[in-house]
Amino acid sequence: MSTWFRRWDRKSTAETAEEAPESSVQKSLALNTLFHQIKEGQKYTILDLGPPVGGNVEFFSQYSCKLYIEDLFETITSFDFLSPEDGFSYDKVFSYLLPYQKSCRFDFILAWDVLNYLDREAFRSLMIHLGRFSRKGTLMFSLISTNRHMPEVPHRFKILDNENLSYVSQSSVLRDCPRYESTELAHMMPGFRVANSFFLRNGYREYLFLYE
Amino acid sequence: MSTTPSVRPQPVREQAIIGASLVVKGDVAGDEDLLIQGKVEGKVTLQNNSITVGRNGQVKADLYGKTINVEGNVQGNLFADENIVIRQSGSVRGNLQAPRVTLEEGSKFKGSIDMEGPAPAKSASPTVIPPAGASTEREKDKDDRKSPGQLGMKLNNPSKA
Repeated sequence: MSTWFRRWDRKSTAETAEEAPESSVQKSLALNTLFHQIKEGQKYTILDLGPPVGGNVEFFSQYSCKLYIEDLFETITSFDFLSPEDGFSYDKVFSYLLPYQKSCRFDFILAWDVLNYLDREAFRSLMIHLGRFSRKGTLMFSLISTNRHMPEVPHRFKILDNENLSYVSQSSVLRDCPRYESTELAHMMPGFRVANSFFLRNGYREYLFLYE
Repeated sequence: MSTTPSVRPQPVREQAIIGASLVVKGDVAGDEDLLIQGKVEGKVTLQNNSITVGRNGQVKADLYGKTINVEGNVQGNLFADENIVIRQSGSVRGNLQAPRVTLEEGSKFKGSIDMEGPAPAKSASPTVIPPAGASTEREKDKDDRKSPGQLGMKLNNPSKA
C-alpha cells in the first residue's frame, strides 16, 4: 500500500463483525439537497471518486451529464510513490493521478467516505488540486466518520434514489478513524466551505461543501 | 385451411473473429460484427455493427461501433451509437460515449462517461480527455518512470519505517 493513506491499528474481524454490516441503507439528506440543484436542460460534469458502480451510472443517466469515475482509493493504493528526495510531493502525485484539462470544471464531486483514508497533508493537497477544477458553486458530497473506528477500506456506495444510499462494506476489518472535525476540515479545504451537514445514526456526518 | 405459421428465417449476421492467438497492429474497419479474443493495437471502426471484446481480448485502441460489449481488457476510448456494456469480467481505461452505458457489478472502469449525444463521425478526432492511465503519452510516461525499487529509494511508509 502506498505511503500516505493513513494506517491505523486494525481490530480483529471477530471483534468488529457486528460493527461492520455487509450493507445498509441510509437516508441521505445531503445527497438529496445536491440532486435538488440539478436543473433540467443543463449539462453537468460530475467527478465520482468512488469505485465504479453500475447502479450509479444508471442513476446519472437520467440527467444530462458527463461522469468521471476515478476510484481514488484504488488508484492511490496501487501506485508506487517516489520518495521526497526524488521530488515526491502530494501535489505532483495528484496532478499525475487526476489529470484533467485546465478548462475542466466539475459541478459536483462525490467524495463519499474516501477522505477519511487520507492523512492531513494528502487531504489538503487533494482539495487544492480539486479546487483547480472547481468553479464557484461546485458542490462536494462527503461522508466523514465520527466513529472511533471505520472499515479498513472505503465503502462502496450505491445511489438507490434521490434520498437513499446503500453502504456496502468491503471489509469487516476495522482501523482507527481520524474523526476530522469541522474546524480541521475548514483548514484542509481551502476554497470550500460547509454548505450543509447532517449527522447520521451510523456515525457518519454528511457534508455538502461549496466551492467559492 | 392450413394454420401452420410461416416462419421467416432470420438473417444470419456475419461475425468476424480475431482469435486468441492473433495480434493485430493497425486499424480495423469493415461492415460486420466483430469478436476480439486476441490482441488489437489500432483503431477499430465498425460504425454499423457490434464489437465484442471477449474475455481473452486485449485492446489498446479506440473503438467505434453501433454497440460495444467488453468482457476483456480495453485501454482506449469507446464510441457507440446505441450502447456500451462493460461486463463483470471487463476492464476499461478510457472514455465512453454512447446514449446508454451499462457497467455490470464487478466490472473495472476508469475514465469518463458521456451519455449524451451521438458518437462522433468516423473521421472526427475524439475530443475527450484521456483519463488516468488511458492515454498513450501517460502509458509511455508510466513505463519510463522508475519504480522506487529500481531507484533504491526509501518509501515514506510509516508501516515500513
